[in-house]
Parts: sequence; structure tokens; C-alpha cells
Amino acid sequence: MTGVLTIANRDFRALFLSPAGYIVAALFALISGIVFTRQVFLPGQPATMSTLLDFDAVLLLFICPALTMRSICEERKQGTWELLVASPPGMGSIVFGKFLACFCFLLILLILTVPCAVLLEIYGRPDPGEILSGYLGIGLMGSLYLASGILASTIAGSQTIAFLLTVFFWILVGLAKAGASVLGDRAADVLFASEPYGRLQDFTTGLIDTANIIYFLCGIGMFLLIASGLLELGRRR
Amino acid sequence: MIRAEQLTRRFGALTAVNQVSLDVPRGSVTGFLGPNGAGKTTTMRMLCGVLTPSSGQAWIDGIDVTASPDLARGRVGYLPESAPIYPEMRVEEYLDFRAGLYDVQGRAQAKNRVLEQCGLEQVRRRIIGQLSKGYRQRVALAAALLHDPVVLILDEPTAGLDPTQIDSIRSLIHTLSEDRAILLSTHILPEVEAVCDAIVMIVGGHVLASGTLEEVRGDAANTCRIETDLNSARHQLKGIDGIQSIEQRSLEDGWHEYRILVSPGQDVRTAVAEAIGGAGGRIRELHAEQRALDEVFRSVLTSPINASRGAQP
Repeated sequence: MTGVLTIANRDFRALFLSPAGYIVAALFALISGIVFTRQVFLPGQPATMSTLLDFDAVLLLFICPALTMRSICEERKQGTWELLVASPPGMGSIVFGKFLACFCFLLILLILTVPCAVLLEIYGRPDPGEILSGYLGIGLMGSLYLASGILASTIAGSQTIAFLLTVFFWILVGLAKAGASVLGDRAADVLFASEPYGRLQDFTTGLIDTANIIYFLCGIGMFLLIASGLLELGRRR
Repeated sequence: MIRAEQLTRRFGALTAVNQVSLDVPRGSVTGFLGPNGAGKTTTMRMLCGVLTPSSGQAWIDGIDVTASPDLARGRVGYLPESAPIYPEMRVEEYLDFRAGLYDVQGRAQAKNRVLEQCGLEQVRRRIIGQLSKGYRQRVALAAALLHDPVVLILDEPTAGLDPTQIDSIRSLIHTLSEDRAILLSTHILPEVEAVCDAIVMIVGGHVLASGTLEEVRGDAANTCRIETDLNSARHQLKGIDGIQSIEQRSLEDGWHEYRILVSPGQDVRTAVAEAIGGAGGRIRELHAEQRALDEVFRSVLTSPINASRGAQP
């Protein structure tokens, strides 16, 4: 456990050692603020965060892969990967530590949008349950992006490829729904079930479904397990 | 303390390390020699648990590297080639990070100890990326020593350092070796003579020679260099027992240089002096050279069987 926290701590700090971390956070806050004031925080609009959170989910599709793309690629490029692998924590701890670092950054991003919710609470009558459920959903969604991004970072030879791999993967998953009408009923069921965007909508409209939570947690676990499995295999290959 | 038996590593069709066995006891520094691509780094990576062997076994402090890799990794201080390090971190931050990875108890003392050992007190607050190559190498070494490992595996620890830095690293290695087992790879042969008690020579993934420095040098003939004004000394020298061959070269000032190859274990200096003196010649220099390791190295490499092995990709 010490190993996980040590790695998470280092990676989290590394995100702030370059301007990139601050720029991403600032832009995320700025864009969220613009969307909030232009689309949500208007007289006559329903007092709900769902518009903003749905929009932020789209932003996260690009931000999360940018956070994770360097996690393993860069270590490999710098040669520091070898030091990490030669230290006592196993691959699982390394991968989870790296995920945790990015997750903490994701939390900071989401916290940056909390003032919007507070404003809504002051001037309107939003449903706090819906807001909390929305945050839970977007947190899970972002984590899923992060976990897949870490897997991409273990497969890809360069950061750019890791980034593109993750983004296009999720775009394809989103588009696959469109193909559902062509396929049979059973295949369509599978496609709908494996797609996260509809599930996110459940959360942002205030519906907490255990099936959805399990879906996200399983997805996150699966990506991280595959990543650490592949890395462990790398010792043998 | 570091023990390997029949360690083999294949990458696809290529056998990078082939049945390498070695044994480094506590208190000893073993030099791991070989040309580039000989399999030194691959062997070291297996010993450190970075790579899993295709076959064979290795033990670190009695712990099987493949059976309990986590435990074994905790006993090794590993300095990979070119000393990779996070350039954006400060020296102390980096050491804290490493202390966390190895779950070091008494972190502050451990940190101070290695900072002092490696002469880094001056730069403890500096950003690693801004340090010179020599300092970075020392930071990497300090990090490897942080958890006070019983086994040190150093891949080219002095590569890219200036002569004073090399000296300080060598004396540090020497001090460290008192109660540890150290395996260091290098292709600088004088370095081996300066710091190692034993060597393992590897070419094309095979161990070609191993043993203490004396053992490895032992089978090799020594040379003796003479400067005399006697032109026909070859004649006198031929009669001396133990001389294998003689090379003559005229020097610019009219003197002559003779290089003679002497059978192992023989000392012919007095006999040479008497023979030349007896013929009325004067001697201004006479000295026996212990055969340098690089010559041993070259002769091992160029012997027909080994040359074919070395030629493997």
C-alpha cells in the first residue's frame, strides 16, 4: 500500500510540475463557467446541473487521456520505468498508483465546477440529490476514461498514440450504437449495455442504478487489470 | 550472496543470455565484462527481477528471484545503465520517493546517510535535471543505497564521468563492498583492475572466463620490456629459460627496445640483466609487465571457438 501511495503522490505532483496541469485545470474551469453562464444559469431555465455535467463529460473525453497518456509511456522513454519495475511494489501497485494520481487530478477538476452548483443552490431550487448523483456519474465516467487511458499508455509506444487510441476508442464505442439498427437484437442489446453515455445520463438526471455503478467499476477494474497483466507479461517476453 | 545458475534469457529466436552461472559472495566486488550486446545488462535485469529468466535460477541473499520476486527486489540496490532519473524532481524529493517505494524506516537518517556517502549535501535542494551528469549519476547511486541493500547491481556506474568523479565513485564502491556483494558491469578494463576482486567475462551470452583477477590473468603469459644499447641482444636472450618470443625495435637515439613474452609464473629479469651485462651491453630500462586485462580479454575473444560465439548476433 505504501508503494501505491508513493507512486500516486509522485505522479500527482508531476502533473503540477509542468504548466500543463494548471493550464488544463484553468481551461476546464473557464469552459465549464462559460457553459454554465450561457446555457444553465439563465432566468427560466430549469435549475439543474445536468446540462453542464453532460458537457463536462465530453471535455473529460479529451482531458482524461491527456492526463494518462504520459503515465507509463514517459517512464519508459526516460528509462525510469526500469527503476520502478526493479522496486518491490508489483505491477498492480504501480498501475493502481498511477491511476490514483490521475483520479485525484480528476477530483480537483470536478471540484472546480462546484461553485456553479453553489450558485444554482443560492439562486434557484435545484435538487441536491440530482446534483450529487450527477457528480458520482461523471466521476465514474472520468475514472473509466482514465483507466482505459492507462491501458493505452502501456500498449502505445508514444504519448500521442496513447492519447489518440483512448479518444478514438470511446468515440467508436459511442458510434457503435448507431450500427445497432443494422445488427440483430442480441448484438444491439450488447452494444447498448457496453456503452457508457446512456448510463451517464441516468446519473445526471438523478437516477442511481446499481447496475450502472457496477458497470463503471467493472470497466475500471478490467482496464487496470489488463494493463498490469500486460506489463507483468512484459517481464517475460 | 548473488548467485545464478544456468540463467538463460531468450527474446524470440535470439538467445541473449545462455546458461550464465555466477556467484558473488559478501564482501566482494565482481566485474561483469563483455563487449556491447554481450548480455550483461540482460543478466543484471534478471538478477534484479526486472526480467523473468526463460530458464535457470537466481538467488539474491538466498531468496529465489523467480519464486518471491517482491522480496528479492527489496534486497537489491540497482543502478541501471545511464542512471535514469526524473529530471523534474529535486534530489531530496526523489530520495523520499524512493524511500517510499522501498518502505524505508527512519527515512531522514537514511537520506542523510546516502547524501553524505555520495557527496550530495550541497545539491540536496537542487532540481535533478539541472545537475551535471556526474551529480545525476551520484543521485542515482544514492537512491540505490537508500534502503541499505545487501546486494548492489551497478550497470556501468562510471560511464560518462570525469576522472575525479570516477575516483570518488570507485572508492565509494570499495567502501561499500566491505559488507555487501557487488556486481558491476563495465567495459573499461582498468576499472576492473582498480575495484574488482573477481571477474566474469561474457560474450554472445556465454560466460567465457570467470574467477579472481589472478586466476583469469594466471593462464596468460607476461611481458618484459628492455631498453639496451646492445644490438644483438636477441642472441643472448634466446638462451634464457622461460622466454617464449622476442620482438626487437630500434629506438631513435640508437638504443634498442626488446619486448619478450615470458611463460606464466616465470621471472626472467635477473637472467636478462646478467645475459646482457655479460655481453657488454648496458641497460637503461628493464621491467616486467603484468599482463593487462585487456590483453587477456582480447585473447579470449579472438580464440577460434570464442570468436565464433562472439560473432553471434
